[in-house]
Amino acid sequence: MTAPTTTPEITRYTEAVRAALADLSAEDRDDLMEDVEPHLAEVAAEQSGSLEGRLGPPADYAAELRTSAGLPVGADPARRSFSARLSAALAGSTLGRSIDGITRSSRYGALRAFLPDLRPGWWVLRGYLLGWVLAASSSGGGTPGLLPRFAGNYLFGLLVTLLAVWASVRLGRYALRRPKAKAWFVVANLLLIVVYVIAVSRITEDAHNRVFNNQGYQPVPSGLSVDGSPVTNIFVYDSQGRPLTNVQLFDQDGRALSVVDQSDQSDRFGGQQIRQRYDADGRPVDNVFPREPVTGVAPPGPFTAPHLAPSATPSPAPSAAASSTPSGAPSPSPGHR
Amino acid sequence: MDTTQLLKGVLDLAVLAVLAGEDGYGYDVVRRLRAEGLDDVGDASVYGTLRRLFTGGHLSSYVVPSEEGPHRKYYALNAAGRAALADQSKTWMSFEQTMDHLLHLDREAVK
Repeated sequence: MTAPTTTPEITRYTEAVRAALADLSAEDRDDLMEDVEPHLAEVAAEQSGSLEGRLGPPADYAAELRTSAGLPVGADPARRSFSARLSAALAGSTLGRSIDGITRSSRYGALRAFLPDLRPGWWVLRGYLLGWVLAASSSGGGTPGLLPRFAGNYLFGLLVTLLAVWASVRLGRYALRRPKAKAWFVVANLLLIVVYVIAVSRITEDAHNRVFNNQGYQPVPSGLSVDGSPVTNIFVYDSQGRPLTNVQLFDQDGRALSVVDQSDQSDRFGGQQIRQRYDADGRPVDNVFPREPVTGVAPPGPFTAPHLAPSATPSPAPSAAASSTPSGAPSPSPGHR
Repeated sequence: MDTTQLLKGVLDLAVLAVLAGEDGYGYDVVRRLRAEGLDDVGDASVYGTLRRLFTGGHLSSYVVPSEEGPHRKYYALNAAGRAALADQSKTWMSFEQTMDHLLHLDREAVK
């Protein structure tokens, strides 16, 4: 006789039996399964042929086990719990086996054992979240901070938060004693979290909008600006520092550079309305600088421009051309030959 | 006549009787029942019965390490189990006598 070992067939059969017993309490099921696995291993090792051929379908095996063990007959499949149906559907599939591998690992066990310790912490957090949501919905504006204000009042906010924490802890302790209502508490908790997430996202969205409005993230104003402040006039000087007038300015694409929103009629220059310039065809032109008041001429800028040094741009100056032309070079001295 | 229905009523007694002779693990009990002539006994029924007798306090159990496979859980009759065996044996024997008697009457009627 070969040593009984676990084969994929045994695992499949075992899991199918376990799934068929899913409606039993974990204790009853584990007690039964404790015997099933070695049994299947022995049967598989002892006889040739499939386990199903030898023992019948897993569901029948499970039913026989259940009845003879005096445990309640399986509920109508339609009335079985969702988790029971889910595990029945997953049994034998790769996904089901990997989930089972995880849930039976010692690390998962340690995690499961550890989670109940976190319960009181969760109750407090839940109460705080509840208070926060209440305060946020009452404040109607303003970003609730870590300590939420209730109706604009920090003291009320503190009271509401403490009250909510107290209620949450009471509720948690109550729920512990009422395992049958568990599903409802899970739903309520999820609902609270959803409401909280929605509230947070709306509030941060509001805050986001306010920040942008405060900093003037409106449509970019037309016209020129330097470091954010608008340019209202431009003074142009030539290389000798002499002011130029009636200069038309264009950008790299040939667009007229203007310094004001053309619709802004309140734009003023020196306390006076600016003079509108027109081209030869009578169309208004806004890129003529410096701009002048309606009466009189543009006052010179309150500054003087420096004289420029001669341009450093290389130019085909005749002298340079002459010195670099090799044609005029003397012929090599005959003495070197 | 289908013996599986009959078996259901007496499986407790049969398992107790087998274990009264010698302690055994699950599959061992199945084999011994079959060797004694209860061919139709279902594996799962025996395992379920063992589990029920154990939780009912009629059996004790202990684990024996096995070199060639999983450890085996042996079941043994305890005092309550022996009492149950004696009690059920009496019930069975009186039931059997009643049935014998009935069948005897029947046979005489046939003659």
